[in-house]
Amino acid sequence: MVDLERDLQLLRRDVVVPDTPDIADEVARRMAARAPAAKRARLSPRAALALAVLAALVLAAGAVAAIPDARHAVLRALGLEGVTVERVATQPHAPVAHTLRIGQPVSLERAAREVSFRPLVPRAVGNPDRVAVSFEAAGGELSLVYAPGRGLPRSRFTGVGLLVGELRGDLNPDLLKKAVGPGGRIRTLAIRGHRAIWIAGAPHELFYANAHGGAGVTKARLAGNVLLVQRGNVLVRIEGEMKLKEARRIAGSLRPSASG
Amino acid sequence: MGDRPLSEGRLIVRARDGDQRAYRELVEQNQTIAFRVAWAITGSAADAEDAAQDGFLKAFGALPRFRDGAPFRPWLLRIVANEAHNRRASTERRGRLALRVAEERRADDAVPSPEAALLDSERRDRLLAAVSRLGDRDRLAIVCRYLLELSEAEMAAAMRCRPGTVKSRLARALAHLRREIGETDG
Repeated sequence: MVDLERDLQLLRRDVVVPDTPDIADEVARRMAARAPAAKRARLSPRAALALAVLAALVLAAGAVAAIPDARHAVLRALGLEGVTVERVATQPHAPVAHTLRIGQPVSLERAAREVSFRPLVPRAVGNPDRVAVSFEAAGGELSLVYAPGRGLPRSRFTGVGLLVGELRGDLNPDLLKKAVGPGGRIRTLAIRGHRAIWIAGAPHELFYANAHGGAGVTKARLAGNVLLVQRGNVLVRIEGEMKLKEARRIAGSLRPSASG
Repeated sequence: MGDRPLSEGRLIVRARDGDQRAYRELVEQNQTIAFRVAWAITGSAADAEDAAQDGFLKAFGALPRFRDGAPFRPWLLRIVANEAHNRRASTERRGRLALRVAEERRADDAVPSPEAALLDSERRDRLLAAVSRLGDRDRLAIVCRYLLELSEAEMAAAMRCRPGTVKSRLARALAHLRREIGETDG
C-alpha cells in the first residue's frame, strides 16, 4: 500500500482542526495577575532594584494590606476570575468561623432574581437545604448550604455538609484570596472544559478583600478542601470534607437553576 | 519593542529577563501549533486551550533553564504536551480525538479533480475511520506527522519520547493503520 502516506498527506486538507483561541491574551492576563510573585524570580538585577524601591514606597504608604498576615511570603500565585490562590511559606492561622456569615436567607427563586447571574445548582446533591444572598460582592454572592448527612460529613470549618458559593468573578477580580501553607496541596485542572483549582490537605485561609475598593479585609476564616471552578463569568466555590473525586462529581453536575 | 521585529533568540532573552511583551510575541508565534498539539492529545478544544495556556505559563517560568541556541519550539511543545497528557490522564472526559471532514470539501466531492489531488470521499472516510480506531499512541503519531506536519523533534516532544524513536513509532503506527484499513504491504 504505497499510497497510504500520500493519502494521509491529502487528508490534511480535508480534516477540520478547531480554530486556535486567543491564547496570548489569556496568558498575558494570567501573567499579569501573578506578576508580583513571578517577577521576583526572573527580574534582572536593575529591574529588581527598581521594584524593591517601588515596593518600599508602596509599603511605606500603607497601601498594601489586603492580607492581614503580611508575614506570609507569597511563593506562587494562581488565579481564576474572582480569586487568587497564593502559596505562602507559613501555615495559616486564621480563626475557624463559628457562624457562617453568608447573608440573608432567601428562597432560590428570590436569590435568582437578586443576583446578577443565573445560579448554578449541583444536581448531584439536589436542592440545597438553605440559600443565602449577600451583597458585599458586586453582583451579589449566592451561598447554597447543604446539611451534613447523605454522604456529606460535617465540615470542621463551616459546620455544614457542603457549602457552594457563587459570585461574578469578572466584577470582583480581586475579591477573594486563598493563602495555602506548606501542608496544603494546590492543583489546577479542567472540569468539563471549565478551568478549576483544587485546594486540599492542610486548612488554608480565605480572605475577602474590602468590597468597597479600599485596603483591608472584611472577613477571614480557615477553610477546608475546596474546588474553585470558573463557569463563564461566575466563580463557583465547592467546600466540604470531601476528596477530589466527589468534588469533581458535584462540580460536573452544576446546572443553571430552573428559577434563574 | 522597536520598529524591527526581534528574532526568536532576542525575544527569548528579553522574556527571560521578565519582559512580558516579548514573551507575548513568542506566545503569538507559537500558540497555533501548541493548541493543535494539545488538541491532538486531549481530543478536546477546551482542554487543549487550558493545556496550552498552562504550558505557556510554565514555559515562562522555565525560561531560565532554556539552553541558548536550542530550538525553542520542540522545547515549548514538550511542556505543553506534558500539560495535555496530564490533563487527559486526570480529566473525567476521556473522549477520543474526533477527526471531522470540512463540509465545504464534501461539496467539492462532485467535481472530479484533474490531478487526483483530492482523496475520493469513500477512501477518505475509510482512512478517517481507520485513524480513529487506532490506539492513542498510534493515532497521535499519525496526526502529528501527517495532519500537523511536525518535525521529528517536535513529534518527540508531543509524544514524550526520544527523537531517535520517532521513526520506529511512526512506522508501527502506519503498519497498524494498514491493518485497520484492511491493506498490507506488498
